[in-house]
Amino acid sequence: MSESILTDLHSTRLDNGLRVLVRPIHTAPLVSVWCWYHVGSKNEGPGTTGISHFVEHMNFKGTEGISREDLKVWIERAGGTWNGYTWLDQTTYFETLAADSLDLALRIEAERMHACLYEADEFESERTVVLAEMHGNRNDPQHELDVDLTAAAFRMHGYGWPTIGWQSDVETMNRQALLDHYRRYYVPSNAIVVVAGDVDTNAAVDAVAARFGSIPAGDAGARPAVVEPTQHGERRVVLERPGTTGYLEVAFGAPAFADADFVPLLLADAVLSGGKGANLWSGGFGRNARTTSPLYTALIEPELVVSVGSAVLPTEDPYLYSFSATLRDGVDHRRVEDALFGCFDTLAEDGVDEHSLTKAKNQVLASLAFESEQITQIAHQLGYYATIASLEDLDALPGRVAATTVDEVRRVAAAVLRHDKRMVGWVVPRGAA
Amino acid sequence: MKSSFTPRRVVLDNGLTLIHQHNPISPAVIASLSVAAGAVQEPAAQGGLATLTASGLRRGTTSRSKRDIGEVLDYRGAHLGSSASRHSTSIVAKMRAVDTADLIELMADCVRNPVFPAEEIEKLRGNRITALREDDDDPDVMAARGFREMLYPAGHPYAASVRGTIETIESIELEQLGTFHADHYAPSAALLIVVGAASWEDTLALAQQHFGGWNGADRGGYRAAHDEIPDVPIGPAVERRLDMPDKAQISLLMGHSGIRRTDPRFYAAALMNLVLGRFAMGGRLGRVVREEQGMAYYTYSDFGAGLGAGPFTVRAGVQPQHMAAAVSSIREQVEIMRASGVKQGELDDAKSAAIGSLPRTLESNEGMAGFLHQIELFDLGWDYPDRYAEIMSAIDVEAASAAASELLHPEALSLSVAGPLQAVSES
Repeated sequence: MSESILTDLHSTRLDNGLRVLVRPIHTAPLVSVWCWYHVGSKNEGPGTTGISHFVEHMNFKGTEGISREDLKVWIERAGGTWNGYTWLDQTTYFETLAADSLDLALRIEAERMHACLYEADEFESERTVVLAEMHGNRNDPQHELDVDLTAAAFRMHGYGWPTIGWQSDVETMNRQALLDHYRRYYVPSNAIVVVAGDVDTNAAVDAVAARFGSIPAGDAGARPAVVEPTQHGERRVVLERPGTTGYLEVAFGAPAFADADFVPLLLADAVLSGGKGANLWSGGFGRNARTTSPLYTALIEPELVVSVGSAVLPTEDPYLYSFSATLRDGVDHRRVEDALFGCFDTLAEDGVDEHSLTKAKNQVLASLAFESEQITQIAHQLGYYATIASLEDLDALPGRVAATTVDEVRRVAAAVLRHDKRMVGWVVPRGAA
Repeated sequence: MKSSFTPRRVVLDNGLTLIHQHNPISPAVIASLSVAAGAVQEPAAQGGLATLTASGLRRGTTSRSKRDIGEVLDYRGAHLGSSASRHSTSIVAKMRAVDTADLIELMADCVRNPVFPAEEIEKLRGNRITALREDDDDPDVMAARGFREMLYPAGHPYAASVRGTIETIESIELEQLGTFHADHYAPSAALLIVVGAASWEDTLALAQQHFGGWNGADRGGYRAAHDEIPDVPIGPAVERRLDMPDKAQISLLMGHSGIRRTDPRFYAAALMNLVLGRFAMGGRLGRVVREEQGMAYYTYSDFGAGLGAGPFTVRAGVQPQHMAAAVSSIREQVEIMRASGVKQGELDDAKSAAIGSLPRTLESNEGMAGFLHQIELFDLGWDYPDRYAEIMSAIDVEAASAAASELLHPEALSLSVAGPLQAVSES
């Protein structure tokens, strides 16, 4: 990247603990406002899985000062777009809209922080919507496998259940539990507001203070630091279901974003299947392995699979490094597995040459450039990393990528891609549709 | 908008149209070449040929193997995709600005000199077949397929899937890819759009260097090279139900034939549709079916207005026990809109959203490239971003309501559903 993502960034903290990040960018008459809460599905437990996501849904259902309808209508009237998501470590909401409507976005987010209604009838109808979302996900066999494999990977840590929760928890969750969760975590001392776009820095900070300054600081309290017990041996999941296609997923425990081993793993992944940057949106399974990568050569070239992708995601605690493949018709899962494991062993034992590592670095650096084309993306990256790590870590990312050596990649690949540390999952289709 | 929307356009001597827009926000460039060579041009028995040909472009040229092409891309961290839609084939490169020259050269090589190696095309064929089998397991795809087959008569260019069928993909012969390429890929049927941190002067020089020597039959320019698509009259409502018992949710699609992009009612229809099924998460449909009744996870409506008259559609994802109620509720909302039209406040909201969202559309390189493609294909003019607000502002309640009464036909809404239908009868 030609310049730092922190260029012109102003970071401050209001008296109530709310962290405020403002980055002026004047390429379009737009502003993007994101409000981040440091609470995600990992902060749940048995009986309450999915509560963070359910709370996110309820927080679009109206506040004391803004009706459910107006929450959406006002933003779209300003030519804006809006959304929110719940993930492992965080929950977030955003608006990107005309720059002169900055205060509208701030007003909505300030109300969302402390004045959501949680009306009883809205709560019941939203439960139906959440369950429908869950059922929609379950139409996809690869999603089902990922849920099962992730559950097999974590026995203690809250990363083990899906962010949407387990069905029985969502079915039985009561309104009071949601309200308690909301009141505990949706407080200034547990939040970050990011403003990026066509704004004046001081005016934007003042506008944030005017809307949020009077909200009591709150205290989200201590969270248990759950450490997943050491894994001693491979774990397997097999899903047999009606369908047309076989799938394979393999996962390994992976370092957290702030861990020194994260960047070498990001590059090991770029070597194996292609570089992807460090964004929740750009990583992942949607993208096929690059044609000169070892995974393409070992799996797609000999026609074992139609596609194979991988993902290393930036998380606060150690999460997973995953591979997912769609099998060719009639190909045995075991053959695909063996070919995939062969790639892991080669990287762990033989390491990587300078040419391959340079290529991997170029791919990651190019992806980082592609991720900074829009103010919405830039604001997202600032808030995401400020929540789970630090802005310094985000800023250092391109430099750390450039400085990583072949020895580091080999060492980390050998530490992560171990036979006794892997999870292996199959979807076996029963009968052709 | 006025300050940042500064496109340049030129037609090269061989008929290729080049459009450029500078965008300095990040050191990245997108180059998108569209050729009027889509699924509508393939014979019915060769369904999927345009798609297979498009994918084949990246599998080897007269001077490069697939591996060589991959090495150019992978060393630079660039992306090159190629795909076919109904009306055109697109080859799109995304790269860092410093790699623009290398990628435009590669792109030109793939478009002009593909060799469609037999071994590679067989692999592609296998991939396509697996993808089609996956489609058979996807309720969204199956509902859309059923809908298309009901709406368009056999032989209509929109009746078949762009992806073909397992049977047609299996029957396509290797030579047919070369023939399709030779018959339909030509500079005078092509449009190259470059957006990002690249200058006009450099872009023009690269286009001339790598595409200037491309020869081919005169197709009259990118716009003229597209085929005429026959209209389909509004037919009686029909139903298609596909039981997929292992699925958890039903995909539902209702609709009837609609309008072309060039229809004078297009803008009024677009605003009316925002009110009906888009604005603030699904418009009236979203408010009633999703929010008030909680019967769907999503629902929205659409006018698929393009070169031909695409359908008016309503889509929803519903749980089995809610299907009948959702269908009748959607039908009722379409009927209310047809009979009573839009209200002033709703129309004001829709206009404000449509006009105000343009800067967001144009913010990304991809968004800008898509917008420039629309301007060229439908001859909208360079003042279109400014005119757009005037056009939308001029539409009053009468015009939007007239679009509803003329273009919505609740009695003719056909229904296609795919999902766990057995659960419907049990509930």
